[in-house]
Amino acid sequence: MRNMTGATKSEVLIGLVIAGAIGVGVWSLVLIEHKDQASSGLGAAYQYDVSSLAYIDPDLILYDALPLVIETGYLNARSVCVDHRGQVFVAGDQTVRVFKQDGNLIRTLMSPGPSYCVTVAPDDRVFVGKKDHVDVFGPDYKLETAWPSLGQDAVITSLAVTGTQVFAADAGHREVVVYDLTGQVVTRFGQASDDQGFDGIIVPSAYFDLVLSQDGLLRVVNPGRLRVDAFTPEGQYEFPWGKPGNDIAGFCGCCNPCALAVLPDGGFVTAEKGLMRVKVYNSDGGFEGVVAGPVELQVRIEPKICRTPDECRANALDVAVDQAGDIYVLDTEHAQIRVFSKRKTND
Amino acid sequence: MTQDKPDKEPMGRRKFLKEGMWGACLAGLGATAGLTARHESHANLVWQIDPQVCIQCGKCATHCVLDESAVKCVQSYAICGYCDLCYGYLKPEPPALDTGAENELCPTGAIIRTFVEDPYFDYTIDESLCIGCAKCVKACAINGNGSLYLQVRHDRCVNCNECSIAAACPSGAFKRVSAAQPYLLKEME
Amino acid sequence: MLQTGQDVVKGTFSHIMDNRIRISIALFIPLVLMAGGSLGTIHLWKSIHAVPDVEARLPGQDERPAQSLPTENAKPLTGKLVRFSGKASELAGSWPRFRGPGYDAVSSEPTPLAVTWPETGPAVLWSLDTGEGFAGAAIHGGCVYLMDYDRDTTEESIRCVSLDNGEEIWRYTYVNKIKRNHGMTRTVPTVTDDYIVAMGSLCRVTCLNTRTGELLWTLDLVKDYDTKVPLWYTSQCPLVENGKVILAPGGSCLIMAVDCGTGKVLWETPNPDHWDMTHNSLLPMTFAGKHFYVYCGGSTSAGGVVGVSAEDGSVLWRTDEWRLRTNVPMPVPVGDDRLFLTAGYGQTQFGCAMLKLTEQEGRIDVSTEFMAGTDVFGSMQQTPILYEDHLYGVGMDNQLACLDLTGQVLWRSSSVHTFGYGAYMMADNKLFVIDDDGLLTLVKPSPDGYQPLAQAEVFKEGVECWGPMAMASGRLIVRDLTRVICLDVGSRDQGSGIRD
Repeated sequence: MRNMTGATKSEVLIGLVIAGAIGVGVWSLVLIEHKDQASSGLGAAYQYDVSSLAYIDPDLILYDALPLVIETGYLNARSVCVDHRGQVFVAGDQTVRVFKQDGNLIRTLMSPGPSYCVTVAPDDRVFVGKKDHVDVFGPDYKLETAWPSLGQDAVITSLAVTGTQVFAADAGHREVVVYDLTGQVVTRFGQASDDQGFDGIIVPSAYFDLVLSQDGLLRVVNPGRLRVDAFTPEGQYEFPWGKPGNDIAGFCGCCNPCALAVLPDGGFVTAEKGLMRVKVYNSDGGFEGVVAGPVELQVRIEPKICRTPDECRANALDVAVDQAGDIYVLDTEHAQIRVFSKRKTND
Repeated sequence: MTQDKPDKEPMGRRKFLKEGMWGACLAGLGATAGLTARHESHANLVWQIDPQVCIQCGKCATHCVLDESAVKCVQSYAICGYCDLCYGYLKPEPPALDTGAENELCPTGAIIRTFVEDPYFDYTIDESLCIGCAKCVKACAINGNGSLYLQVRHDRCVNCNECSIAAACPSGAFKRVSAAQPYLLKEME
Repeated sequence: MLQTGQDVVKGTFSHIMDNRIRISIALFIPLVLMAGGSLGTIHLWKSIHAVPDVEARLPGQDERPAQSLPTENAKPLTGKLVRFSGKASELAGSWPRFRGPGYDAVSSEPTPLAVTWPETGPAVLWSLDTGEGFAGAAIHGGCVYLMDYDRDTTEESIRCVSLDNGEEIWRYTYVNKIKRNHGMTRTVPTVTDDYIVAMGSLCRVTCLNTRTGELLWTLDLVKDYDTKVPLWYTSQCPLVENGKVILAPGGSCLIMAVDCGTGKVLWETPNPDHWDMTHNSLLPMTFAGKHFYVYCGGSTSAGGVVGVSAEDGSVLWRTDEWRLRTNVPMPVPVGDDRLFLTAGYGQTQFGCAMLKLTEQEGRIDVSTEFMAGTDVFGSMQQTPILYEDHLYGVGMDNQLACLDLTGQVLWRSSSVHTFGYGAYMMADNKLFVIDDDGLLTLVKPSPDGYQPLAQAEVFKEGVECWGPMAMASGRLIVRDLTRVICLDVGSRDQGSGIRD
């Protein structure tokens, strides 16, 4: 009886060992197969976590997207502005297209050369940045004049206008050019100045925006330093705001903020490329909240595919604000404008 | 029963050897030509990564037959922004913008950061430390200009017929290219 | 063959011994092999230079240049005293601190002042060239004290000149390498019979002997209290009261008291919310039998107005409803229980406000009576003046305005009469207000409307006349960016002031 029991036990043990060996073998094969298909086998230290970068606390989002999406129809849409009538001007390809707020195209302003940016004066004259010079259209939207070229290296990426002056952001020369209304250059600034305690505007790529704020100062994006600088209209450096960082209050990526606009209450709207975010800051540069993140902008956070420097630096956002405080976000990759309106709160 | 005259000469030993020699020569010639052609065709092709297709999966670091992968990160200086806050070099929330190991994104410390002039920094790859994991490539492509990308370094690659990385590459970025132009570089213009 | 018992025992013994030897050998050989293998492995491991080039990755390996300013200024806090030939005036008038003896920019001296000026304006008694800045003067004991900066030597200085003629009496200097940032100086020293306490541009506090100018003690708020120097350098003026200097470092402590004689820290108010230092200066106030210091501090993320006990620095009350990024004008006490606040740098919703203090069961509560945007009234730099139950100040439209205590604007001087960011003060029932370019206007303060009395261009081609005014013994000290002048604004016809 003991012998029989012993023989039975041996057979069972051998069987279990064989079964275990087969199991381990199958498991190993499955693991190897799985590893080959889905994972590099690298540990967490070698992974770059995209999802945490893109996360935005929902409580920080202060705006809602309106259902309207304006299709600009451009291959290369570059800049947007809204005039005091609420008309939406978009510079792209070789023209400027004017849309009603409902997204219907009203007219097209044409002049030779690629259109980089546009702004509208209170008297309805339209100033268009044409890479190296400014074209001026009258209130009747007819081309009045083309101002002299700033040189073949000039890239005019933003314009602002007052009753007496026009300010042009020249990314090519990394400076702000101040014109009088006849097109004469009054002054230029943006270079580092020990006297002014200013370390200079750095423009690594053609994202160089400026706006006139309600306190009479010019706010100029300093994209290489990931901040905004304030200047008097004469070019005297005043102060900076903004800090580098992935955190929601900071500016991240290369050449950000790529766009800037002024809100009716004196605050600012900024847009960032790369990790696409549109945010609101108060008039002194204090972070207030988020207009839209990648989800609201309907863009995916994924590595860009590009081959040339221009391709690699493409696909950014531009922003504009209408008199009601609604924010127009131009997605240059899809040539669409999304409109965001301040969320109504119960209190 | 009649004995038919044979149509051919009987295969004698001499004839067998003679014709065998000829056949062997022809076969050898053909084989040599074929092998030469085959060798030539492979000699003109090398493995390379198409940066337009690469998804930075990390398999280049682990699937190469070499102990140290032949895939390395390379830098396109024409595309790089030379930023102080470089996302390819620094962790997403670095304690400081400097070269302390606690700030570095690269797990092997293979990126060298050098001050150029305020506020620019130059970033180069130390290939002896780079394992081709593509962590920096992904970070640069998401947040920066995408100047960092992977390439097979032909001073290291043994150009296997059946490349292990190519077999594992989920996006088809690994491809054979002409040895005359062995790199798929991002362009200057 | 039969085995004897002895044989059996012997055989068994030898069998046992054989087995033991075998077992010992069987155990010994693997142990020796294992030990040898282990030693060999250790030797191999130690002999292989598996990680040949381990290098520490440390900050600074990118060869980024060191920031020069903090290093150069991290010298011992010493300075040098240089004496000159000037003599103190016999004039007894005193304006010993920013906004004068009463912290209200109102002179309480009985000296009658001229109602009108000759065409050439009030007489310029003396002038003094300075480095670029907005630092106003303090007057005490016949001397005028002011902060200055010399860009050539990179030295900051506390200067003492005669009220009679502007001749220098002594100068205490120390190295303080800074860049131009809208001028270099913007604080007013506080002077008593015994002590002069001055705040330097980078928040260095210096206490000197008033009579000799010799150093008593010094304090570096950045180094010792992690103070973040405000944009454009600080304009906080020290508050001296009862032999104590009260400071608001805004770093590791919010407010602190230091013994003027010894430099010993008497108390510190903790700063758990990390309020930053602002350009504001502390205001002493008494309410419900408690004496405290009011400070508008912090930033938009963490800040507000706080009152801390003069006894021990404990927080008696606070509000976070006045959170500003750029906080310059001081709070203006209105009666015993209210504080008028104003601002004008960008945050347009924070133009002006009135806080009200109430006491309940020994506790001080604070509430906001009104708050209005800069479109109603706001001031970027200058602090309005409370005079006969009305507030006078220059608003964001550059016009002089008069407000009642409910925040209603009673009048504005119109766009024809604008003053920019210029300074103003009150004396002998007259408001002195200077515009950016040096045009000094004498105004009769009245809720009935803008009533200019006299006007004179006191600076030829004046630039940014923003420095606070000081007045003593009928002498008005005003400045533009690089010049300080002393004007005789006293009445030639004693008693011809407009006060009837």
